[in-house]
Amino acid sequence: MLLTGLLGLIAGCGHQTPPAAAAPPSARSDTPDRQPGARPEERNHLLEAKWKDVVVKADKQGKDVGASVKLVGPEIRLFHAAPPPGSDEDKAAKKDGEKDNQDTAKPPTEVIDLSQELKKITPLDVDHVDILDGQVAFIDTGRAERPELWLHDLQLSVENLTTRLHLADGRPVLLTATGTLASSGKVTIFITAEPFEKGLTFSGRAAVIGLQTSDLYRFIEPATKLQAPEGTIDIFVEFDCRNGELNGGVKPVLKNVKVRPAKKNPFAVLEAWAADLAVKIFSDRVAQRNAVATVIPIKGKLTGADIQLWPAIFGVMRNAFVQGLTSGFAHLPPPDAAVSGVPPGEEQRAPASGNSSGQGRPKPPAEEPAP
Amino acid sequence: MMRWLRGALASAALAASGGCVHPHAAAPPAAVSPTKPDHQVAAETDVPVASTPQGLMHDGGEKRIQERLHAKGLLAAEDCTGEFNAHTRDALRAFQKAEGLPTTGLPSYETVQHLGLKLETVFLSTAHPADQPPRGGGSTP
Repeated sequence: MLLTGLLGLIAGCGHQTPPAAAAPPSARSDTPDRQPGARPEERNHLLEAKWKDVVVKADKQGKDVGASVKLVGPEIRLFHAAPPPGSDEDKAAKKDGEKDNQDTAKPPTEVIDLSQELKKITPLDVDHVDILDGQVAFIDTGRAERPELWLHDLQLSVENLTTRLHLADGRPVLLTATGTLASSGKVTIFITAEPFEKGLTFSGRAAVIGLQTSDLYRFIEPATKLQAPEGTIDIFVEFDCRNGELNGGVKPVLKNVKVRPAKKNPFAVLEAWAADLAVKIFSDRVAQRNAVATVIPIKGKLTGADIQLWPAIFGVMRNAFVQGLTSGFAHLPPPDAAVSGVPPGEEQRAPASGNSSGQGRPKPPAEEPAP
Repeated sequence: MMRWLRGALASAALAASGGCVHPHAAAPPAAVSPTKPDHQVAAETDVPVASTPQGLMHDGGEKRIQERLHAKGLLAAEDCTGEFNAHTRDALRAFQKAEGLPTTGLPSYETVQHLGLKLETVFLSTAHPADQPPRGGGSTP
């Protein structure tokens, strides 16, 4: 279930059906190729994974036997073809996603149940997963340029994944992880969850520190044709969900960022690719109220018979990060000479740090790399 | 405090009614009544979830970890402040690397066990209510 969710983090977009079975583009010449960036062998793949070593240990706990799995040096590649932002297909997918979220949140349609794959490694119930020195690549096959975003040096531990309450020993599931996004962004994640509650109950923090915007723009640039800007961005996310009631906040902090004004939102590409429409979070930002506010409260309702814990958690994180990115850049000083003192068309420089102006709002996420 | 008391009382009541025995447990853990669904028992025992390691720990949990790291020569004495700072995270990373654990710099259950600490002396648990009350919550968004 955890790995289902872990992969749901990237692969579980609710707006996209799984790639069609390996039909070569030439065989479907009447319809546009949805995966121009996919190599032939990748056309029917959502994921490829290989690892250097796997260690399985069984632990007898009374009458039950639990297993821990340690993956050493895994390389996981996740493929996803999002429709181009603003296209009819994209709009239809978003509409469907919103419709799905009116009453109940449906689980992502692309979630890969790797727990079934783990069953091939061990038939035992896995209650502990470690990843050492992992790499995860997010590959957008929806574009011919097939941009890739890498998470390097992934260190991850998930504990207490038992499916029986008495084995949990009164402690929650605990996920801790660190890694490096692209070449610069230090990622830290801390999540606790109580899978036995009737409604979704989890709490956590995640942060990306020092992500160079040029790294990010390498991912979105092929579509936007923007020149890579200078500067870094930090994003802090904190969330707390009790029985399906989600509250939290996102805080993007831009440092020395220079961007060139663009007609289109460059992050629409990222949003289209990464946002999980199966999990809806809302921002209560009012456009005119806080022009440069960097604390974005998030809230939502994660209820419904089908909703699963880990896909929901990672859906929340995905969407919060995407919202942090888009909001952070959207609230740079506007390209208006009267306001910024810089002629339109010239570069805009962001404030050196975030400006929290959220009076009376939830406590902003801490600016600490580790929770 | 009320949450903790409620959990402790629920644990005690369930243990008294003949709870199952966990191999790591010094005292009977919160048991699962065969007549109650898991979510109902979970609501009664109120397993803590928190957005920070500190929110998941007893008062003094960080200090215990730091003292072990100091004893292993990984953390200076003056850094054993009880605050989970950058030095502590670096020391934890070094320890985790030496032990073949994921080097997150965060206190996982396994890391704490490898440090020779009992989980119940560091982490909040409804199965092992400690003498000290938990610090208020820890989930702060």
